[in-house]
Amino acid sequence: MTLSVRRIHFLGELAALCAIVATVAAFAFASADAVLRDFRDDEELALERSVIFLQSQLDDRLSVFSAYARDALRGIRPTHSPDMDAALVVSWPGLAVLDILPGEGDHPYFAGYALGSAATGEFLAGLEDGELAHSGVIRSPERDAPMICYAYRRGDAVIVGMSGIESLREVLGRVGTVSGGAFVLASRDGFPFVATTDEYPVSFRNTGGQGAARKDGVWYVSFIEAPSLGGWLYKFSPEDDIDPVLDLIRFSVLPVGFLVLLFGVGKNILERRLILLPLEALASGLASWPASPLARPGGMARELETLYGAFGAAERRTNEVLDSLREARDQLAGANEALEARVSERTAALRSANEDLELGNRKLGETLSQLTAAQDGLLAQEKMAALGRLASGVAHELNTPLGAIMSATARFADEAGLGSGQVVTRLRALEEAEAGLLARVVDLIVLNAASAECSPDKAVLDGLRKLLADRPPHEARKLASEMAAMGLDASVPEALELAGSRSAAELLSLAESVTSSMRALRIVRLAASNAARVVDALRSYSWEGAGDRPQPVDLGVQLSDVLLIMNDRIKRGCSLERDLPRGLVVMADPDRLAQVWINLVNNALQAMAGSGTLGVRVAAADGEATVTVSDDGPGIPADLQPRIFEPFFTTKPKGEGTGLGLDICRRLVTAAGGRIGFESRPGRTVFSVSLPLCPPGTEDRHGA
Amino acid sequence: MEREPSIRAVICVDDEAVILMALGMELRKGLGPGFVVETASTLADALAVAGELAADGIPLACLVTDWIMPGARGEEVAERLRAVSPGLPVVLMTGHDETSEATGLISRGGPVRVVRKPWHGRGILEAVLGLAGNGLPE
Repeated sequence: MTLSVRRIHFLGELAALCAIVATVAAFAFASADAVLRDFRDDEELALERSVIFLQSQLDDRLSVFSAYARDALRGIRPTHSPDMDAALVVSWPGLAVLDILPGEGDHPYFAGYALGSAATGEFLAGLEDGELAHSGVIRSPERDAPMICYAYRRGDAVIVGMSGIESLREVLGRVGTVSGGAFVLASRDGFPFVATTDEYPVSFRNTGGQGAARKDGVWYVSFIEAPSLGGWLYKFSPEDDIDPVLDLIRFSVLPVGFLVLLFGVGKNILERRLILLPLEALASGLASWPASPLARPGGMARELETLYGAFGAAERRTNEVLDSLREARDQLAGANEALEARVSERTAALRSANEDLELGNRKLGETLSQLTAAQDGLLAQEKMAALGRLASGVAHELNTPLGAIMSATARFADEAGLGSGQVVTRLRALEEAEAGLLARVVDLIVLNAASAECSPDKAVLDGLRKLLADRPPHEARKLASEMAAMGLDASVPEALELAGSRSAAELLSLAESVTSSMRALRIVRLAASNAARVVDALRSYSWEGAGDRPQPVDLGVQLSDVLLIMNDRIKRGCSLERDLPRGLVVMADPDRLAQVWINLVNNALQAMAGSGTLGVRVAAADGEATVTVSDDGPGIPADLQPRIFEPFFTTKPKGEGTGLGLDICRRLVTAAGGRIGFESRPGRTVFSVSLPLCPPGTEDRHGA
Repeated sequence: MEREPSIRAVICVDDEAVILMALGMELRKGLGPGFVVETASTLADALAVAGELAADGIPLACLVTDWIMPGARGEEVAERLRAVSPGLPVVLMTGHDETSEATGLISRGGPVRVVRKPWHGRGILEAVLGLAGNGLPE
């Protein structure tokens, strides 16, 4: 019979490589096959021993087979077609697996009978449902090679694995004859498998996606999903010669078995247990074979050596892979350890740093609160210092009117007390004309008192001196001085009369006594008025309120007040230039704004160290009022200029300044919506404060 | 021998007008006919007055000056007047405490007394009389 085999489908990117390897393996197999046949008779015993070796190793594979068989059964759904007998033949590493369907013959259930082995048939017939077993080494008189049969039964379906190289050939050789049908081969994941395709749905034997079908006397066999071989669909007819089938087998089934050995079905089968142990056992068995014909040149040994060489290469390769994997694993482990060590090291360092940070944070927090408290204290201290300076200035400023008042009242007391009687006596001693003149002079003094200058004008003195020109100069001087002091000048006739009077000195003395009360009172009133101005200026500042209470402030008024209460300090050698027009009103807290002016004036005075010209001015431009406080001191050194607004920065000796003055000024001015700046060079330093002007007409409730 | 002029001069210097008024009143009355009391609010005025007094032949008996004033301080007034009238006694009026340095300076050129403001009773008068005598020949 002729068997036409046609490759219909091909898949898989590794097909070329695997085909090469498979070819080599198949060649090795074929050679081994021939050798085995040659030496079958005389080496039967030895071969049996080797098979026993193989059997022991194949026991290991039973478990693997078991897993596979279950998988295969899951995929097999035997649906019996009356017009078709088929067998599913599955190859396993070193063995063939048959799915035997109901058929004809003595052992209709098992195609294993078709293998021509009664022993196989008996083994398979004895399988219980769900049993997994192997037959042990079967030596059949009908066969010329020992074999091992593995089988797993579930219901009517049995999966059979056949070990022994020869058995495959036998299986393939007898299938057609026993069942009168055909067998199909397929491959998936390195395993021969039966497949079906959608192209032949009608007659295809459905075995879970893969299978074979006969149609019009032609069998179609599918090989699909085989990464190592690709997916092929073959068709062949019963008339085909068996040999092409065998070729097909060699090309597909058997190589697949070796491929599995060489490259593994997957990663699991790469394991040493599956590959290396059986091979090592085989090698040692062969090596310990005394006078082994395998050693004969050209004999089986060479072929096996070739095979073993291939295995050795696989082993070496595997070892290399394993070594490199192990090395990689060790490196990875080492790297892991190092990494873990570094991680723990870093973690510890981070933890330590974190603790340090937390400690630092706590300390910073404490320091901050201490600093805040200290700053509050310093602010209070600065305020108290300013208040102290102000109080001192105010005290001195009040000393002047007080001194005048005390002097004047003492004089008034003398005159009103002890001097009164004397004055009466002296008055009674006056002649009529003199008394009349005195009366007029006194009236004149009283009349002029309101407008009299406290310090006699030189012109007045000179005029009086002319009236007294015929008297001795020192006498004229004294008379002129006293007349001027009482508000008399040369323009009044009484002055001329007085100048010509013999009793001029006495008349003036009496006039002085008589008018002293009035003049003393005038002094007291004037001094009290001055004192009241100081007190008024001082009363404007509470110095107690901490809150910001903005209200309209007339800068001209406020600056005048500030200069008044600071007059005592200013006049210590400094002259004052002022230009303080009224009516420039800004919105600010009066106390705080006054503190700014006091600080700036203090700084200017201190810069001039006792002598110089202080300038205090206010002017309006572009909706702003700008106050300037200038001095002609040595100026702020250029290198210190950027720092003068810093808190606690001071150029004053320790204890004389908190260094907060300008810092406070800046904050107060900024809070009032203004800005503060300065220009400084030797001989001229100007601080300027600009504040937004209130709309015209805003009342200054504070200073007006 | 011609008789010495019977009067001498006391010059009062203070920047505060009301002080000059009070001083003038007090000293004119208290010093009596032997003294002429002049007042000046600045150093320049004081020098001018001193010049006039010299022209009139009236010797300076005493300077009564405030210490802290704009322009010139008491010690400078004393120094300048002593240039005209060496050894001129000085009464230094002050509302401040720290006068020792100024007093030391002034004492180099002649007698000095310090009177604190506000002065009480006859403080100024007694100081002037104490320094200048009562106008009688020694």
